[in-house]
Amino acid sequence: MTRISEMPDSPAPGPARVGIGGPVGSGKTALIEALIPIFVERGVELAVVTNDLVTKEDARRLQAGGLIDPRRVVAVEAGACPHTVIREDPTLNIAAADDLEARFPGLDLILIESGGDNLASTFSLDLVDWWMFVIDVGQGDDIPRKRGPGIMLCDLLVVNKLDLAPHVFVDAQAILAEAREVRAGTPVIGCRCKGAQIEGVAEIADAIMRAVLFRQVAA
Amino acid sequence: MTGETYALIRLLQVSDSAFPSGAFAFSSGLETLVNEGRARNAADIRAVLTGQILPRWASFDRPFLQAAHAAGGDIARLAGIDARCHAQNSADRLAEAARRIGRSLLSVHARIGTPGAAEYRAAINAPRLREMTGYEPVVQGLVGSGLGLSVAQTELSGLHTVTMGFVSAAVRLGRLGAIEAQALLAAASAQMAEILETPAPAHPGAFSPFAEIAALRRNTAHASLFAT
Ligand SMILES: Nc1nc2c(ncn2[C@@H]2O[C@H](COP(=O)(O)OP(=O)(O)OP(=O)(O)O)[C@@H](O)[C@H]2O)c(=O)[nH]1
Ligand SMILES: [Mg+2]
Repeated sequence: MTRISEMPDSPAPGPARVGIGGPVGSGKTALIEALIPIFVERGVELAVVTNDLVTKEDARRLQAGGLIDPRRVVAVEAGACPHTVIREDPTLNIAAADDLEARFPGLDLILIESGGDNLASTFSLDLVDWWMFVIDVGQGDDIPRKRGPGIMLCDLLVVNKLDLAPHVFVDAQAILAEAREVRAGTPVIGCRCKGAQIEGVAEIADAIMRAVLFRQVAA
Repeated sequence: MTGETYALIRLLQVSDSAFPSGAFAFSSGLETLVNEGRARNAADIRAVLTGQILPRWASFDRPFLQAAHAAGGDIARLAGIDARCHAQNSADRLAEAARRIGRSLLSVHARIGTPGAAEYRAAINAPRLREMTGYEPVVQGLVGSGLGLSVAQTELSGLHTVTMGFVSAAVRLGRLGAIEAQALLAAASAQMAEILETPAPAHPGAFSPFAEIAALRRNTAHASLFAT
């Protein structure tokens, strides 16, 4: 099969493009906020594309956060279709990433946050090189069992808000174990990206760097 | 296989709403009309489609599409048509939408190897040209000629695309049912045919103040689903 990237006029290899999908409120933006300082410290040049459903809320939050140059964050309006804009018709996101690439020639990595969606949302490989799906323990301990393309097909499944498990009456370790089982050994990382004790985020940064930045990361 | 059948197959491919161009994220000002309570139901949507959207395409987009088709991939001529389209586009937001859709359409065609697309894309890639070239009807004309479609087929595709884009935005804005949408398309077909069977105006000009002004009025602070 001919891959699109081997067809005429395929774009020159530029910064790696990494997708972050997952249900509404699972902590996609919070994860980006937690990843930025780690990437900054590691010298990774970063930009972000957000896809909000009805506002530019996520882009504004990142721009106002003081972690990243606000010009490196752009919002794409999804025309009411968060999955269309990352899967069936990713052209607006491709254009946004191309634009960032042209404006900031030294970029290593572009993170593309999907609008919150359901368990069926997946990223087009025309748009990203690698993508993760973020769920959280508060959405129910049966989420991994419900499978869904988002959970099954992503390159990395992130289970966020581990701190909340006792408050929502679930066993975080059991969720992680079940997630690993349904994904048959493909990567799963549990994390907490808000609060005093952040955990798991450095491992997520390691996974991204190994997979798409081809950097040596101590195991 | 005849050349004609091949052209028809390509026509269906590029006119399908599954063909990616980003167009689904634009509502041609309809979202503002809906938010302001000016477009509430199928009758209102029909009035905007038949009174504003279709006439705007016929008087404004169509002559540029025809000219671009006739340019047969000549980059200097295409750039000149784009420049005229830019100069005559009085509604900034609609102009920006037309460029964003046109440019993403052009990159998809460049990626899939449509003749002429990669060359024109390279020609208008300079930062200084980004804000003034790559208009949707110009790209449609170029692509149609590259694919070996007749000018009539290319126009049919262009009109179909704008109509489907508008109607599907109305459905997602919750002002039109999915079945009502098909009834509306059926009702609008005669007008669409008449537009295509009447010669295009010699000079492009647009008069659809209602939709244009709505697109301009769009308040950027207001929560919005669409980019226009
Ligand atoms: N307790 C706890 N709360 C978290 C954690 N991560 C995120 N949150 C909270 O979860 C809520 C949603 O987080 P966001 O980062 O906005 O989620 P999102 O997935 O980007 O949401 P959408 O973009 O709207 O789909 C916020 O109130 C966060 O503060 C976590 O690890 N633990
Ligand atoms: Mg978010």
